[in-house]
Amino acid sequence: MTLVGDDALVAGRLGPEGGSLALAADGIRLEIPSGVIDAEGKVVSLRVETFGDPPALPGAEPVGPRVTISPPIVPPEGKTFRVSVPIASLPVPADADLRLAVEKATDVGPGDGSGTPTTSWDLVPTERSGDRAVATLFRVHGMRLQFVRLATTPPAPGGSP
Amino acid sequence: MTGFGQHVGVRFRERMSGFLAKGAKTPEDGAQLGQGKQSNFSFALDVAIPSLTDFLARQPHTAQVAGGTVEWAGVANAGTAVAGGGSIVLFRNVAANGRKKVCDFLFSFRDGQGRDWTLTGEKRLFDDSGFDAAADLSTLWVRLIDGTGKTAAAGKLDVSIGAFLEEMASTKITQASKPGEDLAALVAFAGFLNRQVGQVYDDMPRIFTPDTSLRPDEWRVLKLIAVLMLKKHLPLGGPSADDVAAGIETFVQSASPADLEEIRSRLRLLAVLEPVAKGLLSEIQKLIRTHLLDDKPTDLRVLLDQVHQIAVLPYYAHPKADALVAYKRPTFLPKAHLRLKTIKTPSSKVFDVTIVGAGVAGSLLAARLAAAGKSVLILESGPYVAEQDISTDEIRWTARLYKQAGLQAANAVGPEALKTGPVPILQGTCVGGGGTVNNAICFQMPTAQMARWTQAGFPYSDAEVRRAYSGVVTELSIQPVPLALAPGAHANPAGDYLVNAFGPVQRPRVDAPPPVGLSECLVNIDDCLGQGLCNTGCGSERKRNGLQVHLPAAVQHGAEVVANATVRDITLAPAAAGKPRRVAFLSVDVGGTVVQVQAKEFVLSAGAIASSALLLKAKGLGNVVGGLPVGKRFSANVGCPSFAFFDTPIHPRPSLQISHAFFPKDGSGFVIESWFAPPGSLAVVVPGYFETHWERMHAYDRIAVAAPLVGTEPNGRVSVDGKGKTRVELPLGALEITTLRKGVATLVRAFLAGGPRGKAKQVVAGTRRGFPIKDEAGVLAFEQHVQHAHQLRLGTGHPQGGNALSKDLSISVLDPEFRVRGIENLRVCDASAFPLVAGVNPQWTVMALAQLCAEALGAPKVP
Repeated sequence: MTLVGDDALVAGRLGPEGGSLALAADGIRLEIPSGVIDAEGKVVSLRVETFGDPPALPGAEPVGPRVTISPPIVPPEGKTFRVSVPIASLPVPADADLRLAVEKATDVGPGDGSGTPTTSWDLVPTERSGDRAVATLFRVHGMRLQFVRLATTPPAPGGSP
Repeated sequence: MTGFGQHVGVRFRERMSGFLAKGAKTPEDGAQLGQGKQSNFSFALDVAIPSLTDFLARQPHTAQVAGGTVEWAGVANAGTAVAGGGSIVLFRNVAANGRKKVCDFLFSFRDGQGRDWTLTGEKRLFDDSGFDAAADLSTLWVRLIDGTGKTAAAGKLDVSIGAFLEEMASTKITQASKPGEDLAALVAFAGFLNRQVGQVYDDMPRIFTPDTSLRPDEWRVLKLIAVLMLKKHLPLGGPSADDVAAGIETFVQSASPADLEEIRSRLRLLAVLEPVAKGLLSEIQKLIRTHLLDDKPTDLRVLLDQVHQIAVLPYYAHPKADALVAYKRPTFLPKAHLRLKTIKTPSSKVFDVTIVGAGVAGSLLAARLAAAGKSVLILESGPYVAEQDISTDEIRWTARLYKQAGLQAANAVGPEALKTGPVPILQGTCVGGGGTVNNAICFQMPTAQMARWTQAGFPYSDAEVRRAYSGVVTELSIQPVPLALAPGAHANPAGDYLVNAFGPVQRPRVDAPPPVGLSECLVNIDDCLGQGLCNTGCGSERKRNGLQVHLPAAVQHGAEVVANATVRDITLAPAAAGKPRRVAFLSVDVGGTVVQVQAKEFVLSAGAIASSALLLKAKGLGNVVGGLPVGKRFSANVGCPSFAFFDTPIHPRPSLQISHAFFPKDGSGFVIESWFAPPGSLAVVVPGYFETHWERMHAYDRIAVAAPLVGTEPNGRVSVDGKGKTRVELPLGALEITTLRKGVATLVRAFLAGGPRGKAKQVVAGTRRGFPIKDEAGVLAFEQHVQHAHQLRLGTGHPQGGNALSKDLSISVLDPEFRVRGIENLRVCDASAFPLVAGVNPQWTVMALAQLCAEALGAPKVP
């Protein structure tokens, strides 16, 4: 099943055959392979999310919309997800070093009253596939993602020189 | 350690409704277009968390939409089913510091024309200036997506306060199978909700620590209870909301740790209300009033009824309320200054007899057997409190001396909770047991009821039981109320207002059942000061009970008394061919350490509910009791207090709580007892809510109270669920309801007829809200009105049955010598041995059975 939204949101119910959700024909796209979703099906959404803090990553400039994929999905072993974006839709040169910033929860959670709820961002590499930059994810965290452009010279470890 | 297994889950409902604007692309646009418009969309979701452990450990915390329905005007009819595969992500952090969170709703449905729709929604929990926790938690920003993935409608849905409260009450723990798992899981889930919301909103109260002291934020919740449950505008000079909160804190601190969790779990649910209450207080008050004043029984109403009691007890028990209700708080004058020698851990030896339970039966058994030269150990799960240490603080002593801090109830859960309604069961759990907190009333069973017992296979003759009754008369000073009173002390004057209908007050004999008609009560009290606090323990030590008579006698003869000792298991000795089974030892928890207690004979005298529960829970008994009807034939004397209001004070001072009884005729099915109580305890029973309750309580010194007691049929049951929790069912059928109605009507007519000191101006029959009656037409209207047990405000202090002592093998658990059938050295002796309800106060009959049991164990016969 292929679902295409209206720039801001796309959602639908996918079955065992998998499918793709794209914000628009030329927007961010999530591809879920077959065999990830069980026979009951799963309702999945991909949407632009404007609230909350952007990725705070030294040397990384957010580009394009910040999106949320919901709910969290852990695929069977050997299965992965692909999140891609047409490079031309981003305000970057064609050879920009693009990564997908993936938000993860680091909240120690209930059961520990002293837990501080925090989030952190991992940078996932992308590769080119046609006109798209494609990131491969080993799981969907159910949180936010945003493509970022890495600065040409990464900051020195431990802070600015 | 979470206290619950991996498989334990949670289910709850989520309902919302509002207007979705077709064509709107964003929820904000849809909300704008929907302003002033009626709701056109609603959903009711069944939400499941299959494993709470996984849910809590994995982020973002994700629940499944397990079912539900949708209605969308013009598109999907009411009842349209939600498809599988939906989810709700709870409290997803979108700020690194946790101060912004989002709850993601996602589910789909198919409309009547076969079109698929997907709903996406967000609850946005941001601690900004525009919204508060109430609005954020109750608003869902929604978009509806068509089958191609495009947004077709958008808008804002809300949850009403009523639906929100229903959701709170709907939360259920699933798949719990071990003792305490469900409570531990509920605590963890409530803690999760509270902590997550608390991370966003600074002023969210937290009630999740296991300590006994309440912190400032917890206090706010308790004060909210006072504000919501008491009348508006409390008078100056009386107790304040702070005073009520302090009273609840005393209650919590005085209860046993196990009871504490029960109480705290209720407070935890209420904690969720506190932030919601901001700005919505009047709506919440309106809603609570609507629910409480509605006759339809619901889970929420049952919860609110309990909360009402949690508020009115500390308000009226507070000394500042004394002047408001013209109560003259007495001062205790201890007489014997008796302090019992108790020990922390039983001696390491094989006792001749170990008795489980230091109540009325256990105390008498111990006295008789120790005096006969047997080594005796008495184990009591409750605390030891010397009567001289008891104060007039009703809250503290209710929490400390009663089972489940006074909150024990039959029909607390399950279908009977809504059909019959919860029936509070007051039972003492302390050294001395029920004899410490009862009214010391002594009735021999009427001859007709004794005949019914005989028909039910009861193995002792009328004459043998009467002989056993007489065996305690002298030592316990059983005598008519006027003879038990000290000079200047007063009996409950209610009897004086019943004589026009019931005839003159008779003096009963101590060697016979009570006479038909109105009579003084027999009591095991001497030199009574009439201070009216029998039910929270006589700090003046005037009852001739276990604490004052039987236990000191037992200790004097070498018996050991261990308080706070809980029997965890009963283990049988290995089977020997051709020989009956024997108990080898009890596993007893004393202060967290489990010790084995060995004895030649064991007697369970833990009470009508606990003895059955102990037999059912004991894994060490294997299948030996499995074929016996343990816990069945449970019954009780159920009371329905009704209130007569007079123009002039009839209680100018405290008086003995129960002083008179009326027996219509043998076998009529009910007896009527006068009753009165200090303000806190009376407030829990007075019908009505809010201003009505207030007005009735403020006639405190002008009220006479009496209650018909109806012995129920043996249709109840004590059981132990898969989680090890004791459940009590007490179904009340047409026979009981008819008898209760008749009993109340008889009482109301008598109050209206009055006596030489006056006639009642109005009687309020004991329905939940109170049924005001001024004349015969009102009595008839009452009889027509009451059709269901749940309409009445019922209670009992007389649970009975469960381990029938009977020759009839189809109902018998105990043989004629009180032995559990099939186990040679395990006996049960307490009210659970009754084959049928006693129909009158069971205390003296329990003592008679204990006398007979002691004789079966080798104690000398009383003449």
